[in-house]
Amino acid sequence: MTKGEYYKIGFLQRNSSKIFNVTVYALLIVLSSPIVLAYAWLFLRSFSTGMAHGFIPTGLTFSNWRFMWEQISGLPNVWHVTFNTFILGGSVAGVVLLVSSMSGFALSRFAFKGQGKLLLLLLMLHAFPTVSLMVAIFYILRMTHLLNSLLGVILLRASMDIPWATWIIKGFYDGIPREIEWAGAIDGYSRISIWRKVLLPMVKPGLIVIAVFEFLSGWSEFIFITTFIFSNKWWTLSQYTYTALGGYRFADYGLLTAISVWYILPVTILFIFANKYMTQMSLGGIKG
Amino acid sequence: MKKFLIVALLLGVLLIGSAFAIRTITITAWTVGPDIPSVNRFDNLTVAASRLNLMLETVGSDIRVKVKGFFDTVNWSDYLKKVVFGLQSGQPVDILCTGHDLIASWAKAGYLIPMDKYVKEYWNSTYSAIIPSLWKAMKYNGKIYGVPQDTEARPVFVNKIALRKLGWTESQIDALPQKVYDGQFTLSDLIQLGKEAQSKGYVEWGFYHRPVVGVDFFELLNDYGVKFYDSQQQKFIFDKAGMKKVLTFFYDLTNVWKVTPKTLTGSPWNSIHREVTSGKVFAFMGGTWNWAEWQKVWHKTNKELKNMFLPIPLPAVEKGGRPVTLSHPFAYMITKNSKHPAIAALIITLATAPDLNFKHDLASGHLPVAYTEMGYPEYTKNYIMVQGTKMLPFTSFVPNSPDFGYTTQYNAVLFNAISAVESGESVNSVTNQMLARLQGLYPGRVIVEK
Amino acid sequence: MVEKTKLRPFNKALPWILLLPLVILVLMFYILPIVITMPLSFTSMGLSFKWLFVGLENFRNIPRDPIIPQIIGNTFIYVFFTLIVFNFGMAVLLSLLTTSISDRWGGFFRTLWMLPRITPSVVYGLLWLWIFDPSKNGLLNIILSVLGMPSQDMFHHNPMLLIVFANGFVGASMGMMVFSAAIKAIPIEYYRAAMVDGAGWFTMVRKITLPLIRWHLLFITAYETLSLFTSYQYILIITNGGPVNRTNVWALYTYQTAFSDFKFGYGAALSLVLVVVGVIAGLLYIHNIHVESTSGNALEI
Repeated sequence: MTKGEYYKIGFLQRNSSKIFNVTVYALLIVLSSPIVLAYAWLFLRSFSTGMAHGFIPTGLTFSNWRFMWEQISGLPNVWHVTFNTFILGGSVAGVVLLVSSMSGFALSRFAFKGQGKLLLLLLMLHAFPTVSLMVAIFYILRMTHLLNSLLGVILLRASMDIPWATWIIKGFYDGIPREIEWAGAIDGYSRISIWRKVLLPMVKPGLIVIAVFEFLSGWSEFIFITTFIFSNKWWTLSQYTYTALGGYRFADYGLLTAISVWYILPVTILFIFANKYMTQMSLGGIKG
Repeated sequence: MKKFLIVALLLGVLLIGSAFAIRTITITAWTVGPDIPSVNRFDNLTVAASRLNLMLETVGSDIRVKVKGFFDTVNWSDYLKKVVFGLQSGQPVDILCTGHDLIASWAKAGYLIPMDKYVKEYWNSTYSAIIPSLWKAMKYNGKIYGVPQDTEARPVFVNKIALRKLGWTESQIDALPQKVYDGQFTLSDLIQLGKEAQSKGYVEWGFYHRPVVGVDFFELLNDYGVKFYDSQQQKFIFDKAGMKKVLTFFYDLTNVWKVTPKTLTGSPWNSIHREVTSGKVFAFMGGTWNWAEWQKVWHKTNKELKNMFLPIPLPAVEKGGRPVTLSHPFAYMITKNSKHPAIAALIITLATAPDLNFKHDLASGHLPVAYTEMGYPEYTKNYIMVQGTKMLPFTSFVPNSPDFGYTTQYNAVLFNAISAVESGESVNSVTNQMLARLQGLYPGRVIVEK
Repeated sequence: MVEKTKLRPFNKALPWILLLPLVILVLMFYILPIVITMPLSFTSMGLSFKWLFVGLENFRNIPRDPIIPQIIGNTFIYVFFTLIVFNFGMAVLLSLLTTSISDRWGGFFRTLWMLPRITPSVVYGLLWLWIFDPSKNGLLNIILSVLGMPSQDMFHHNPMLLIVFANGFVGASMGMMVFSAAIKAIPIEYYRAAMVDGAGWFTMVRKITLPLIRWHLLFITAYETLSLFTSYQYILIITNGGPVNRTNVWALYTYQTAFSDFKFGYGAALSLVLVVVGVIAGLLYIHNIHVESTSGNALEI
């Protein structure tokens, strides 16, 4: 937050009446209440035997969490599934970081033919509805033997996010003064070493934002998993939760909420400890 | 010489090693409920594998069999998606377990291999005990593509509590099923009774049927004696007058008698179960498996259910007519992707052991496929199984043709017509639309009967 | 400088070497799918995956398909109302409100609204299933019973409302973030001058804030229209297009045609419509960005 902004807000606050302030807060609270209530219900319900009037826990129990230690009909082992989800999230983050930091560097620091067009293409791809080309993607994955494999989903998910990530990280590269690179060159570094030893450490904040967001992007992936994964060996928590939802919707909220709370654990951690990043991650939220 | 020695040594090591090495063959099975209690469709295959391994171990074989795979509970289309794409992309799937009505379309698309050879091989040991009429449902183009796994009846569950409130005595209630079998109690009697219970406030609704597309609706066509398919010519029959009668029944349900909510079609299954099990519905067109589902997912005891529901077949339309029900047997099939079809067939055969299939029936409210399953004392003690078996003489199957199967067009067209009349569109115009739709989908393959 | 001359031949290829992974992935998962979809839409490919070319049959079938009019109607309702009420309307409202209070609390509310976006979609779907649960357990019916009103079964009486709400609570956050950033960048002097003239909050919003962020408003509207038109994930999870197609939209119908009914040829033809819209919108989007950067009001968050 810049000094000017701070001044502005203070200025507005001093001059607006109390009634105005109360109205704004009241409006925000009312508008946001479905979100607060829904998430509160999710957590409370997962630890309670039932809900009186739908919202007041009737008693503490851990039996909703039985999926962690016993077999639930129709669902595979949750630890195995969670491990897969971890792999998916981590790999998507890894692939996106690698590819976007390389291409962002090339687009920011080199002048070459077709650069402008490529930048525009990336912008366009970012908005392009690839999910509507699922039939053709199925064909491509079949040709490359990437169906029913996490690798296929990792590459797909990463490809969907790379245009965005490249743009973001290019912005970070652009913000580094050329002089720093020249200094590196004078020290006798090659361009690649300059990139690795000088530039990458400087764009670290951007890389962290991308890593966090891409981990969550892979962690949450649903459509590609449910369409291109056939055996439960490669299930992730999205398919696990979706399957539970199919069998127990309206029937066993206890089990469903417990599974959900388990699934959104990384989101919760992020929400509590890295509040600041969340706002930055709105960058990532651009993919609607 | 030195070289020769080394080669000989290596060969020796290999030979000895291979004598001790145990080769594990993995058989992959993709099975579906979608009802949760039917998980034994998969588990029985793993039990069969462990029995086979015991035999192999006993005779000193170096081969072991392992069964992997899944049991799907999301919904039908999710399972079908996995199977079709999995087979297409060359996944090593050996065994499928799903409804018999998919045999024709999958056999036609080349996904399945014929099983005649194996059925013949194990005929005396296992398959001779299968109820003969079920084999009809396993065939396409004269070849057997599946082995019956279970079957069921689709009773109407009548709310006994409401009957008692209407002044029925226990002996009157107990006598009702026989009256239905004799054709003395008709479909309109059932609806009128439901209407009465509803108007007196004993129930919220008089009649429920399945909320989503599915084979149950063929029951009504059968009940009204409406023919819809000619298996010989592989052509659809459109009996216009008959179809109008059936659609009028559905129109009247929501618009005239008002015993069915207009919002029924499209409801999630679980909200239907919630209302039926809490006694809010007078009559529900369900299936024997509901009995198990209501116990496992909705926490009702067998005693509570017996006190609450009376299963009867769908009553005849005319007095003196025959009631009907519908069966949708499940089958184990072997896919063309199987590298070990003989072992897969062996596993299926071992899983068809009466004790295993019976364990599944008991747990999931399905009915036996073999006479040998009926010998267990638990069978005669199991209320829903006995009641369901009584209905089997009145049952029929979905035609075994590539034109049928869960997601095929005819089911969808029929269901859309039913939901259209239930929402209040006129029977005449819906009938005409339905015919036009079928003619558009199957040019030259619809025989119209006036 | 000596090093640079020495490295020149390598330097010329270097950017493309660095870009190679990007180019491969783009070719594989963006360009190739489009290339494959086109011929596919002229086939009757079905369950047996055979390339049987049938000419324009699939495209002739689109207007003949009796579900299509309903699908188009639903798509329009879905896109229009989600956009107007949430992705645009709610976003503007939230950005104005959260920038009118202390940055700490404004940031808190914005973070809260980001929560649906980063929650896995299946979990988010469960939340809405509960909110609109037709029994007395659902949030909506709890609220209604507190107010002394009868329970509602939204799944039947107004399933589209449920879809609009569920998508809207996710969609509003993007506009909110973009607009908030834009509002914060407006120089304070503008407001000070207006206040000297005695302008109230509404006047300042109308006369200063909204005109100054008009490019952002336009950009979000264009972007979200495309994004809503082609998204179906939440509908798939919550109603799967039901009851009986009442919440089915073009993108979901395309998916179902291919992946539930196994009609790949027809599905490809349906998706080609989305591709055309996507390309046109993409070009407009580029144009928009261009205009923005020249207007000296580049998009920054």
